[in-house]
Formats: sequence, structure tokens, C-alpha cells
Amino acid sequence: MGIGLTGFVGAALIGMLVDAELRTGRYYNEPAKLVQAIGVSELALVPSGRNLRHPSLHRRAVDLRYDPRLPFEVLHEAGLLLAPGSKPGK
Amino acid sequence: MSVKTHLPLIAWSLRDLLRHPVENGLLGLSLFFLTLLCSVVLLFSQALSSAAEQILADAPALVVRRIGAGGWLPLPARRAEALAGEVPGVVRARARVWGTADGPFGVVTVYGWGTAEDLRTPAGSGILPPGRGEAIAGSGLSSVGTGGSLELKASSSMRFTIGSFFSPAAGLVAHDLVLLHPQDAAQLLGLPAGYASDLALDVFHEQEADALRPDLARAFPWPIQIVTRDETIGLYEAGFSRRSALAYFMLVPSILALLVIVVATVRKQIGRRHEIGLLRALGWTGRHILLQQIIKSCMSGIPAVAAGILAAYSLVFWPGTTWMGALLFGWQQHPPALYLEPEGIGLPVVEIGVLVFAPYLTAAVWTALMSVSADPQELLDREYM
Repeated sequence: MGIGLTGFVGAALIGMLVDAELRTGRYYNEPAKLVQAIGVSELALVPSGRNLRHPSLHRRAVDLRYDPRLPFEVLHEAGLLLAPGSKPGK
Repeated sequence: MSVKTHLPLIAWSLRDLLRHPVENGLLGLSLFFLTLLCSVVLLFSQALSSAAEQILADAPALVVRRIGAGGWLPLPARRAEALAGEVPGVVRARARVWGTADGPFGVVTVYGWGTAEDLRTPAGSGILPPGRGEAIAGSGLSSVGTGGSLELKASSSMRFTIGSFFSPAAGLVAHDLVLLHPQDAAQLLGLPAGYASDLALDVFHEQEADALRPDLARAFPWPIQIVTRDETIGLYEAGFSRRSALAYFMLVPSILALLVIVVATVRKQIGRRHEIGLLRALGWTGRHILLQQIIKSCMSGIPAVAAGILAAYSLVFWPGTTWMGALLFGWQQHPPALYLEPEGIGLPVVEIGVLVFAPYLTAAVWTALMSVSADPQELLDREYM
């Protein structure tokens, strides 16, 4: 029984290696074509909008509050500006 | 030394294993789960790094983004393309319109695609460009159905009709991607007419992409951020390695469990040294006893370790597997079906096999060696003292 089990598992391991060989070069053609056509630079492993989805955008040196991951929010700056000639508090 | 001459010894070892079926079964089960955990982490990291490298091999060599004091800024498409085109070494500059928008099942990535320049690429000619009001969506939105209405919200809210879907096999790139007409995408994302999100560049010498940075920085009148393809792939690989390292930290209890198994095996063998004494008294040589221990360890350990590797292989490389997206990448619903290629797994598999099996075998052999060197009478006396 032990020999049979070892033999079976050995055969399954060889089957695994054969399967690995057969499947290599089979799945990445389609996504690679899409990358080439659309010019996508990132993988869709992580949901859109998260930092991990766009690792190259996430640079600490640059404050990326307004980056393509956000729907172009603009700070409402009217309250921060004073009309020419006006005085603060009026 | 043939198998035939050792058949009685193999049969004896098997019989010895079957004398303690529960104990040996649990030992095998522990080795199986330990191998499974270690293999999944290693194969997962290897497979995703390989996928990133191979799929992104044709991605733009450089991506140029305009930045300002507040961060990212849209850039004027035609002008930016012309400025980049003047830099020696740049063979193609393509302004990209892309961003994120809220969809029915969460955030999606929107790309505007279908300009004459887009369709000129060899791969682009195989995709029917979406018309105004149409969308091509990734398989993550397949529940909407072909011809279904898709409402997206970003700078404005717009409704599109899904014309077709990308194949699930392209899920690694397009799972939550929505391809729109360039004008629709710009309107949805709030980009002014003639502006783009960033610039994708192809270069003459791929290896020299990094060297073009200073020339590009000088060519544009605004501050820019430049990211090379190698940097992006490197960031992915670093991310996967970091996740694997974290997973291994989580596996520390399992590694301790392995240690306990090894210690338990040694203790068990020491506890039964009288049996070895008996065998030696019956005429078994030290070589026979050592061989018996090795055969026993192989009979119980190899199937368990191999079964663990097989189970891990199935978990990681089963076509269309979704557990990784749901468990590791934070997909709440409709995780991507991953089709990963098992390229270059030979070495990791051998590593795991050795990592798990070697300590176990060493412990068994060491105990046998200790017993072989002892006096049989002393071994027998210990039992009856």
C-alpha cells in the first residue's frame, strides 16, 4: 500500500510537471495583446481606485491628490480668496 | 543494491508503520498541511511575478505624467505628443485618456480608446472600437450583460450600452476595465477637450528608456513624473515579495508546528529504542536498521509532502481560480478569474520539498544512528528496568 501510494503520488507529480509544461505560454497572449493595443501599464489584480492597483502612481515624493485614480475633484477655493479691494471679515 | 533484495525490509517497514496508523496518519497530515501552506505562498509569489513580467513586457516603455503643486494634472494631448516626439530615441508618443469612475459594483478603470492612432497598432486592429455611448467591459461587469445599461459616475454621470465583454482569460488586465469612446471617456472624467491623462511612450532601445529621463524632463515646459516599464514591473515584484514575506510571518506557527513534529518523531523513536535493541539481538545489522528508518520516513513523508505540493499547485494554477482575488487582493464581489501560467515552478517545488522533508528525515536518521551505535543489551534493558 505504501509503495502504491508513493508510486501514485510520484506519477501525480510527474503529471503536474507535464501539465505545467503544457500550460506555459498559453494564457498570457490575450492580456498581453490588450496591453499592447490599449497601452495599459498595470495589472487588474487589485480593485480599481486602490493604491496597489497603480503602484507606479503612488510616489511619496509627489502629492498625488489629483491623480487619475480620483474623479478630478477640485477644492472649492472660493472661500479662500478675497475679492480685490475687499477686507477680511467683511 | 536492488529493490528486490530489500523487499522484506520494505515490507517490514510498512508493517511497522501500520502498527501505529493513527500516529503516522496524523504525522502525514501535519506534513501535508505544512507543505501546502509553504507551497501556496511560494508558488503564488512566483506565478504573479512571472505574470507581471510577461504581460507587461509590451506595456509602454515610459509613462509621462504632468504634475503641479497639487499633484497630477491633465496635459495637452497633441502638444505633449509633439514635444515627446522631438526627443531622440522616442519612436511613438500616445496620449492616454484614462481614470477611474464609480460603477454598479464598485470603482472601475475607464480608458478612452479608438482613435486612428490607437487602431494603427497591430494588436489594436483586432478590437472593434466602441462608438459614442458604447462600452466594452471586463468580465467583472459581465452580470450587466451584453446590451445592458452601464451607469458610470466620475466628474459627471453617464450611461453606456455594453457592446461586448473582454474574455475572462484577459482578466489579469481587463477584469474591471471599461473601454469607451475617447470623447465619452474625456467627458466622463472631466478632461477638457484636447487634454489627456498622461503620455505613453515607446522607445527605440528598450534598455535605454531610463537614460531618456533627463531629455524628456527638458523637453516639457511643465514638471513631469516619468515611470519606466521596468520600474512598474519591479514595483509589482516587490509588492508580491512583500506579501509573501508577510504570509511567511503568519506561517511562523506552522513552522513551529514542523519543529514539534520533528521533536515528536525523535521522542517517539527514542521511546522505542528497545525495539531496535530486539532487532539487533535477532541479528539485524546497523545498516538494516538505518535503511528501515529511511524507508519508513520516506513512506510516510514523501506521499504527504508530494500531496501538499500537488494541492498547492491546484489551488494556485487551477484555470479561472478566484480565491486569490477574494482573499488576498480585497475584491468584495466578482473577483477576477486568474489564469496563471506555471512557468519555472520546478525550483520552488524542490525547495519546498527539501525544506519540509529534510528536517523530518534528518531527525529519523539521527535517532537511528544513535540507536545503532548503542549496545543491544543496554537498549533492551531500558525497556524492562
